[in-house]
Amino acid sequence: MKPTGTLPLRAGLGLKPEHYQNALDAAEKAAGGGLWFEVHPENYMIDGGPRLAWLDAIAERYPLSLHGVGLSLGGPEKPDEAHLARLKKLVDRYNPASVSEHVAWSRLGSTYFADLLPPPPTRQTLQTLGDHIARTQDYLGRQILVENPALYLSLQGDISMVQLYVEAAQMAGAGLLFDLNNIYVCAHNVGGSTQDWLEAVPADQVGEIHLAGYTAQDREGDEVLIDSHGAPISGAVWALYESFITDAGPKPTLIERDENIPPFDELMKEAGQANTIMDSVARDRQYG
Amino acid sequence: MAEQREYYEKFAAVLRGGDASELGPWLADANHKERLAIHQGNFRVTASKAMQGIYKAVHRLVGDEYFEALMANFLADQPPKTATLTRYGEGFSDFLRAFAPVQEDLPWLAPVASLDWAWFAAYGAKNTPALTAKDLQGVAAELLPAHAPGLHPSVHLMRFSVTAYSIWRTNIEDEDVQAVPLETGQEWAVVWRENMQIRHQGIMRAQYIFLDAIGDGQALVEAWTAARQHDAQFDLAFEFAHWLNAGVFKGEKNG
Repeated sequence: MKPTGTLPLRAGLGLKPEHYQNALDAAEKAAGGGLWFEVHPENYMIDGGPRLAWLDAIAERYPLSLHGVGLSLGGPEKPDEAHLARLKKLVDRYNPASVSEHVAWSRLGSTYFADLLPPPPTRQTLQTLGDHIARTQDYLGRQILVENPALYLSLQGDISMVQLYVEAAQMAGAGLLFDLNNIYVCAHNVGGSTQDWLEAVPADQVGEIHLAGYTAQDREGDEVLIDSHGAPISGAVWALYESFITDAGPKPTLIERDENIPPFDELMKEAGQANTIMDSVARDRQYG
Repeated sequence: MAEQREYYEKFAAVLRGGDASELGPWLADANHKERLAIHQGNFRVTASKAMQGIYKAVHRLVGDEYFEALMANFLADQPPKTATLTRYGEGFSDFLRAFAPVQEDLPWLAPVASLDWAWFAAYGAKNTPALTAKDLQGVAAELLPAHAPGLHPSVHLMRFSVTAYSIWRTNIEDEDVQAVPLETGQEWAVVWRENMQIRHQGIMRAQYIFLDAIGDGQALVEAWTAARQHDAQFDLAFEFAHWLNAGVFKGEKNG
């Protein structure tokens, strides 16, 4: 099984169409040292045209990560073969440095629900999720990373969500994509603490980190933090990042923004902030 | 897995607008029942945003509120079947055509939607080379009329019983939308991709017939004959050169 984890130990950006030209310009100016990009493969499951041409040009210049949202690994049904085939076509086309998906479900029967829905944290789910991850890896012929969910609902189950996440990946021989905004959102919304997650996630299995901003929603006195990817990364999540990187060492770190897209330079500043933290930790490890 | 399957089925029912309390037994905190509205909203908004990206003229014509209302009906009628939302919404034009409130008040909306979809489909069509004059250098002039080039996969030919193309064009091109008289009758249009640029053009009925025949695999002379039944002046050499330069014919080697 071909492993993932060949992304640079630097910050990368979620690639938005608004920033295609900026991304190419950054490469031209040699300003993209260590920079990498991540896309949702579902947005590129097309036959041809400008969007694929842009991605071709960017993939020629930067390491690429494919981060799926549609395999429904946490659902009761096996991953959709047609979707896997479309994903494999992109994997074969780009040979990305990383392929990842979510611990979530989104499909039941013939309907795709266009959301990352929470699977029930049970031993039964652990078996099906582990099986679905393994099937995906077998189909793609490579290891994938799986991402911890952002939760808005506290669900009944006989294991914890972090157990489901870590043990399913271990069962399948997959790596972990650790989203620190998601653990902050989870701790606020459904209880537990971010420390529970930091302690339970084996750092050596983490192949990528996600950092994003959340949006607070007041639902008649019930404040819920939404994993909106629509705001700058919060100070609390930066603190979690520094804490995790201090223990784990530098990791490929994605700055995610899917709503309220700011200018490219603003996202590069957040990437710079992540790189500064990683550099500081690397120096401390070398000389400390 | 029966009980666990029930969790997914109840959740799916809630997402389709069902009673959130059905999911109560699976919630560790009963107060979180109200939060299911977050997931209901995500389903609706994500699908709607994907559609707004495709149906730009329809969205501009009807505005946010009406578009959302149309989407709510479309989503209930034709929910996404795959995670590839870049392919979602192909049936929107037919849906609008069959949706009585739209058909009665906005009969041009379904044809406009078909133009939005044509633009989107052309944008993502296969990168097949178009036929060029260079490709035809080895073809003897007297054999050219028997040539059946076919159409490039990005080409969408359309005909309308209302002025849908004029309405669509001003809504996707003009900052200030031009007034379009509805009573001027039929229109024909072609949408295609030339290299990486989307092109569109309003055409005459004879041009539509000519290109339609080419798309059916007929030879140039047969397409010309069909077009001449509606326009005796239809000039094969002129039309062929025009559409060859526009890149609407399929390239020879990669068909």
